[in-house]
Amino acid sequence: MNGKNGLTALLLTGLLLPAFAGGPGFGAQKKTLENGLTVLLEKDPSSATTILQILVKGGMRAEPAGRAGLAFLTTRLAVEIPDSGKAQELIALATRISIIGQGDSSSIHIECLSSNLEPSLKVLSKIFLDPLFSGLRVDAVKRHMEHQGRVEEDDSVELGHLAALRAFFAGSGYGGSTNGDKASLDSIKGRDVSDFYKNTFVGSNILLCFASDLPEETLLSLAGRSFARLPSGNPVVLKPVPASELKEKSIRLERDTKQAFVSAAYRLPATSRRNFALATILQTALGKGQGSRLWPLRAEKKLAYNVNCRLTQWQEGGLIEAYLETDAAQADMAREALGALMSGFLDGGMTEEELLSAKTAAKADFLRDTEAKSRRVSTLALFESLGLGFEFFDALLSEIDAPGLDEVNAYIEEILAPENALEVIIGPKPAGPRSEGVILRSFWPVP
Amino acid sequence: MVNCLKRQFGKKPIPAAALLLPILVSAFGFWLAGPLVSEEAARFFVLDNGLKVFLLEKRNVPLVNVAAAVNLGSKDETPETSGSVHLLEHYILFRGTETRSGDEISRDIRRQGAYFNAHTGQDLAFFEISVPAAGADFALSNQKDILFHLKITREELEMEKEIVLEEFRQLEDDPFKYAASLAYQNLFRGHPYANPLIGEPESIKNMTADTLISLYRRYFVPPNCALAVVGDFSLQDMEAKVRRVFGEVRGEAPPPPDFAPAKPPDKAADIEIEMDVQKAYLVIAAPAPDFNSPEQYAMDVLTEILGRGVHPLLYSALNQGPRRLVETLRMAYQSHRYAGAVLAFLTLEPKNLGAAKREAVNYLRRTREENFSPQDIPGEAQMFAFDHLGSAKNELKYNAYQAQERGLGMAISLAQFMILREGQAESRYLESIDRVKSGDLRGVAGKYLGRVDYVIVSIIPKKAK
Repeated sequence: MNGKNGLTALLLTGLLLPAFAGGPGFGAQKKTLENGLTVLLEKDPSSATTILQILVKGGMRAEPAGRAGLAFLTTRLAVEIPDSGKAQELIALATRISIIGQGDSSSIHIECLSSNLEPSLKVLSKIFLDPLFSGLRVDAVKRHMEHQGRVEEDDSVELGHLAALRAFFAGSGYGGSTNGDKASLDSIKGRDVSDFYKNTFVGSNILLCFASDLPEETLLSLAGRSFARLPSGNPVVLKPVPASELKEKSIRLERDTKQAFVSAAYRLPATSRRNFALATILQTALGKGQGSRLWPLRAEKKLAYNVNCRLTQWQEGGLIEAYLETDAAQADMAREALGALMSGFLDGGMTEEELLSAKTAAKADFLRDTEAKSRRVSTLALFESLGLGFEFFDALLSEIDAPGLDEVNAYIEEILAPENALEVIIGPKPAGPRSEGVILRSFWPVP
Repeated sequence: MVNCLKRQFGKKPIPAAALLLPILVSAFGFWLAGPLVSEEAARFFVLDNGLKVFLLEKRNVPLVNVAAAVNLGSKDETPETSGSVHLLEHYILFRGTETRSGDEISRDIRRQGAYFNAHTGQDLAFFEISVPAAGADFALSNQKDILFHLKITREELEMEKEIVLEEFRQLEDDPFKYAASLAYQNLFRGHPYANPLIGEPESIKNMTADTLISLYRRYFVPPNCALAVVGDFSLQDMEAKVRRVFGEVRGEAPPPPDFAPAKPPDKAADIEIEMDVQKAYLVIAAPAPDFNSPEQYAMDVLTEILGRGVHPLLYSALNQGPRRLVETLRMAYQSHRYAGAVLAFLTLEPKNLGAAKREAVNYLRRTREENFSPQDIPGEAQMFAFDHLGSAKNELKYNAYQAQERGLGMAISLAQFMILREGQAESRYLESIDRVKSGDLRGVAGKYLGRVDYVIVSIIPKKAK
């Protein structure tokens, strides 16, 4: 095929958008152990590795008022290696452990060679079932969380995201960083940690999600042997998340940077299967890559290298942020351009062709994003924690296909309504009179 | 390596240090590492026009990933053309060809559900596309169109320059990326690898369409390129498609590049830059083996031991007992055609910066004295010694397996390998790693880290006014 005619012919036949021969289709299975522990098993022979995510339901939303950071702190301490002997065992096995804090859950993400899964779990489950919450250990992890909290704020995109979460979800667990803040970490005592552990680290509140080349029965047996001692307990009862009452429509954070971060953020409603799919379509249409609504701010208006749309979906609500990073001197121009773009999108909605393209792109992005075991396990576990069920993993592609243009445009009208909008601008102090808005510098003030 | 389009799937953009997986670059034979890919599922051939092609079936996800590597990088620039390769790479990706405008390309990419990106490195430029399997024909045709039928106009070039200047500002706000860029400029001073990947604002502003056209005509020819396709297809079908789409492209090979190996820096550098940050960010850089060096395996293992995984040795050395000099640490080994670099990235309290720099460099210099394996220790003490060597080999094995799960990453590494690899691979990557002994680690530690000339770049909070 050569030149314009060949390519055009190809594209015309492909107007015919690319068919999806099938989803990821690894077919996870769900089992329940006697102590109520849920186990998700996905057989994936693509490599001799195993990913295990231990998901503890509750997350930031289960934290008592004024104790932000408690879920992450407790989860981290639940696998904090107590002595150098055990550390060396894990190092030798090349087992990787990371902690993930989220709105409705916190997770321990474990990656290892499948041949090392059993010895790794032997060490880890022993710590997990009987963790040590000494004052020294609690303080050490708190120090690290404060450090990470400040590093998070050194990135304007992350800082803008946190500012929007705090504005929309103040007073609920969703309203801040998983690292908490200075005041909340100072207020957390050892007793808070052990109480949180006792209430949430119970069989009926925990999900083990595996992707592995090992047989399902091997994994199930291993899960039973490793976690049978976990008490059954009760699922954690979470407080409802109150409706937004935005105190400010605009937040300005001062940073002496070369670029300014300019964002339009909107709160999303509670997550359902349909809402999840609609939000994914909206995110893709608005700001994912070439041809998105935000793209002309880069390609035509030359305002930014980075234009993007970020989606955060939790059980009782979420956030969609359309943003760009621009030369600090043209922050006002970027703010106006983004405002006009969002108004135009709200007024005109999507076209049929745009919707088709957005659906195709959203489905393909999902395939790419979950190609590797690690991300797939995280996604399966996330769907469970959102209440969508792990089966949603295989249903998402058809759920994205389901809504028609009217439904999508009604959704856009609801989500992007001006009363639901928050502007966040981060950058150097403007030269002229200060614009309206809250002026902050850090959620981690100097003590 | 600089991304043309900030990566938008996944939580964070992939750090430059991780863009190319060194674990895949050492031998075509890496596929024997797992059941996902086998020798029967791979095919290498060279088209009559000189284009090198590698096909690899990976049929567990309905995606096709295409990566093209061009033997053109920042090494090929002069001070006057600094940033030209990166600017050309941007132009190719976004500004249109003889048959389609940039908008039309964007629209096509969108319709096909494609992920479309490019990167500029010191040695090579990469152009990659990932599509649902049914879009394989489009992916190949699109890559041929942008790589071999570009149309460069002054108007479009001026537009793209503004975006690249925004990328430059973004770099200046990113503590680790900016520090790593400065570290490279100082580590390779006097060698083309010191050329900043994005270039300098003045040279970008002054770049002419003629400069880019000249670069494009000289280097974007089949014998100077390699194409890797990884994904859900049959080898026979894909070979036929590749031959049909790329077979008629013509062009003469440019003269082979002639660069001397980079020499180690002749003096140490200790640079401090102020930014509006709350913590300190520290990058320590040292020379390392090049892409074809047999020492690369030992350096991979050593980097793993020193700076990756649970409690890496450098981290432990800096945080002994109650003393806690750093909070986070990771290390990367990046191998290029004419040199390599090993970089440590640390975050810490600003007040600890002086001690951390001193202690880190002192420890790295002494690494050659470490016992990495129980076999290094005589007598009963051997029973209590920790096997860092075995642990790191496990880590690298895990990395190798994990890398096979990502089709696009494999395609990029294969394309890179086809251009940079010299001679036949002596053995497969994991076999080479398995043969590394403790003495080899001390050998590379002595040769590359035992020297005094480290390059250190610190990003520190702005002083209170």
